[in-house]
Amino acid sequence: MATSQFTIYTSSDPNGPGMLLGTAGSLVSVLNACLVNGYTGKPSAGWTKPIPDISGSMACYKQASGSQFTLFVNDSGPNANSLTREAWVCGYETITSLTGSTGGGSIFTGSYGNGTGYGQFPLSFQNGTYGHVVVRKSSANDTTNRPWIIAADASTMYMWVLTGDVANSYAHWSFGDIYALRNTDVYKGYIYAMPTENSTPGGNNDVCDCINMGCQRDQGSNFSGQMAGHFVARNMSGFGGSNWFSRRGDAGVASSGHDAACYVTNINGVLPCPNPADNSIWMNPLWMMDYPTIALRGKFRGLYQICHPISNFSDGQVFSGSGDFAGRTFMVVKTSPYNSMWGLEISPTVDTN
Amino acid sequence: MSQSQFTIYTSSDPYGPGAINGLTGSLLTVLDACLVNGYGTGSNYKAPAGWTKPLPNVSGSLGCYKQGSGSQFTMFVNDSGPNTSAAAREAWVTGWESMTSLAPSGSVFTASNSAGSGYGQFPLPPQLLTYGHVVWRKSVANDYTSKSWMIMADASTMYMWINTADTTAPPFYMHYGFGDFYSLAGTNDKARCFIYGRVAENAAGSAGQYDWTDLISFSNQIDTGNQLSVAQPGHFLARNAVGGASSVGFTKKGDNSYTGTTYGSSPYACAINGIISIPTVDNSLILSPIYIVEPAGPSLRGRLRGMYHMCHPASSFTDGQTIQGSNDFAGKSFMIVKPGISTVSMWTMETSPTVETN
Repeated sequence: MATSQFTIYTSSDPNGPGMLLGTAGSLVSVLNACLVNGYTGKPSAGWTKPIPDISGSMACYKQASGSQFTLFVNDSGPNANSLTREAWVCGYETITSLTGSTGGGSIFTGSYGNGTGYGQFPLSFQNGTYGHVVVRKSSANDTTNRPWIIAADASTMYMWVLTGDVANSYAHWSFGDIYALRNTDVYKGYIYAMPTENSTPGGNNDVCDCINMGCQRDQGSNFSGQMAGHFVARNMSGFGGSNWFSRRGDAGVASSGHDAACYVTNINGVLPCPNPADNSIWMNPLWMMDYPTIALRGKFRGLYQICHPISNFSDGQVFSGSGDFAGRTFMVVKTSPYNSMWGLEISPTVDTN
Repeated sequence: MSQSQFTIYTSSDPYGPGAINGLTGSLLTVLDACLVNGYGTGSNYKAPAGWTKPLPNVSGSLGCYKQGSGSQFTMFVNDSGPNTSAAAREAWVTGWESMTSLAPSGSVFTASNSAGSGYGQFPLPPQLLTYGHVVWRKSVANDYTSKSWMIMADASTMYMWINTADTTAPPFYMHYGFGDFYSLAGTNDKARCFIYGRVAENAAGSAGQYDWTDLISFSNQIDTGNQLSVAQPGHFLARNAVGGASSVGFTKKGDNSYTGTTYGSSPYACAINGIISIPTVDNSLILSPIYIVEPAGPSLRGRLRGMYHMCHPASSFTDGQTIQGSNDFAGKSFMIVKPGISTVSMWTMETSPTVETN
C-alpha cells in the first residue's frame, strides 16, 4: 500500500508565516506558505496555484497528487457581517477563474466571488447561497494573533485554528482526498468547514469535530442524514456533482451526543486510559459515509478517534502505536467546541491512493 | 495465538440426542451428549466438546458441566422445572468457580429450587431472581413437542440456540451462552468466564424486555449519555478484570453505529445487525467483534470467542449460510445463525479452526 507523511506546519515555526489574523488575506498568506512555497525548515506540501492570487486575498490551491482538484479561497471578507474574520472556501474539480461564477449573474460578482470552473463543491444551492463553506479565522476583525496548525501532504490538508471564540478551542476544517476503499474512486476529493456565516464554532454551526451518532433511539440510523458543511466532489458512483457526506467513528465509545440537525457525538471516548485489561490505548479510523446510500466510502487519511477521555491527553502529545498500529506515530490535537480531540498520524505511514 | 474450533451440534444430527422439549431433563440430555459424551459413529460421529461432570446428575434433571480448558469453571443446570409457574419449559443455569454439591445451600433453598452449592457463584442470589441464576427457556409449552436447537462448543465455551416456538411468524431463536471469552489480559485473567440468559421466569417477552442476548449495548444515546456503563440484564462474569471481586454484570459492544433498530430502555440496546446495504463499495462484508465491556470504567475486557456482529441487514442472509473471510478475516469461515428474539438480529459464528483462545 502506498503511504505518505504529513508535514506539520504551525504558527510558531521559525521563518514561517506567523499567526493567523482576523484581517483580509491572512489565511491566504498561511496557505501559500504551507501548501505552495514552504519556508526555511519546512518544505511545501507540493500544491500548486493554477491561477495567481488576486489582491492577496483570493487564491486557489491544486492538489499535487490524488484527485488533483483545487481549493478556492476568498479571504477578502466576503460576508458583510463577519467581514474579514471569516473566509469562504470551496472545491473545484477544475478552476478557470478566481472571479465570478459561470451563470451566476450579479450575486456572484465582486467580493462575493466564489471562483469559476467545473465541478464546484458545494454547489450554490447546497450551502451558503454562493456555494461555499466557512473558515473561521478569528473571533474578531482585528490583528489579534491566532495560533494554527496545518498537517498536509500533496493530496490532503487539515487545519486547526485557535480562533479565540472559546479559550483553547480549535476550529477545524479540511480539504483534500480520503483514502478510498475503491481504488478507482477518482472523485474522492472533499471539503468540510463551518456551514454558517458569522457564528461561533460549535453547536449547530459546526460539526467538523463530530462523528455521526449512527443509530439513535426513536430515530433509527442517522447516516442517511446530511452532516452540515461536509461535501465531496461526487458521490461514490461518480455521477452527478457535489454531494454531502457524513463522518463515522466509533460512536459507541463517545461520551455524549448532540442534536445538530443530524445526531452527532464527539470524537473522544469513555474507556479508561489505558484500557485496564490490555494496558492499551484504543483508536478508531474516521470514515467517510456516502450520502444517502450509507455506504462506507473511505477513511480520512491519518486522522483517528482516540477512544478515551480527552483529559488523559495534552495538546501536542506524541505517542507510538502498537498492535494494529505498530510502526505508526500519532500526535494529539485538542480540544474543540464539542470537547473532541484528534489522533493525527505523523509517521510516514499515512494510507494513500 | 492459540486457536480452537467449535463443534456444531444440532437436534437433527444422526444418533444425536434429538430435539429438546418442555419436559424435565431434556436440556440435560442434550448438554450431556454434546459437552461430555459425544455421539454417533463413523462419519456421523460428533466428539464431545471435552467438558466433564464433577458431580453426577441428580434425578436426571440436576446436572453440572466443567470446562475442559480455560477458566475451568462449572455450569450448573437445574432442569427440574424449578419455577412453579414456568414448570419444565424453563431451566435455571448458574455459574460456579467450583461446585461442591448439586443440592441447595441456605435456608431459602429447597431441593427443587436449587442453584447448587460451591464457591464463586455467578450470578449471586441478590443479583438475579432470588436464587442467583439466569433462565434458559426451552419451549413455549410444558410438553413433549419437539423443539430444534443448535450448540456450538469447544472445551471452554458453549453457545446454544433454541427455537422455542414462542413465536412462529417468524420463528426465532432464543440464545444462551456459558464459558470463556477471549480476554484482552490473556491468561492472567483467571476469571474470564461469562454466563448469559433470560431475566424473567415464565415469560416469552420480547427483545429488551426480558432478553438481551441478541442485543448489543446502544452505547451512546443523545439523552442518556453513554450506555456502556450499564450492564445488560442477565449477563454476568465470574469476577471483574482485576479478579478482586465476585460476580459482576457486563454488557456487549458491537458496532452499534451501524445498527438501525433500538430496543428496551434500561439499558438501551440495539439489534445485532446493520444498515450497510450489499454490495458495498469494495465488495466486502463488514464484521465487528463483539466485546465484553465491564460497566465500571467502562472498559473493554475481551471479546466473545468466535462470535461477530455482521453490519448488514439480516434480510440479506439466510440461517445457516456460510461465508469465507478475506482481508482482516482471511482464513476464517463463518456461519449465519438467525433470527434472534428481536427478529432482526443475527449471529455470525466462526466455524473454522481459527477461534482466538486464551
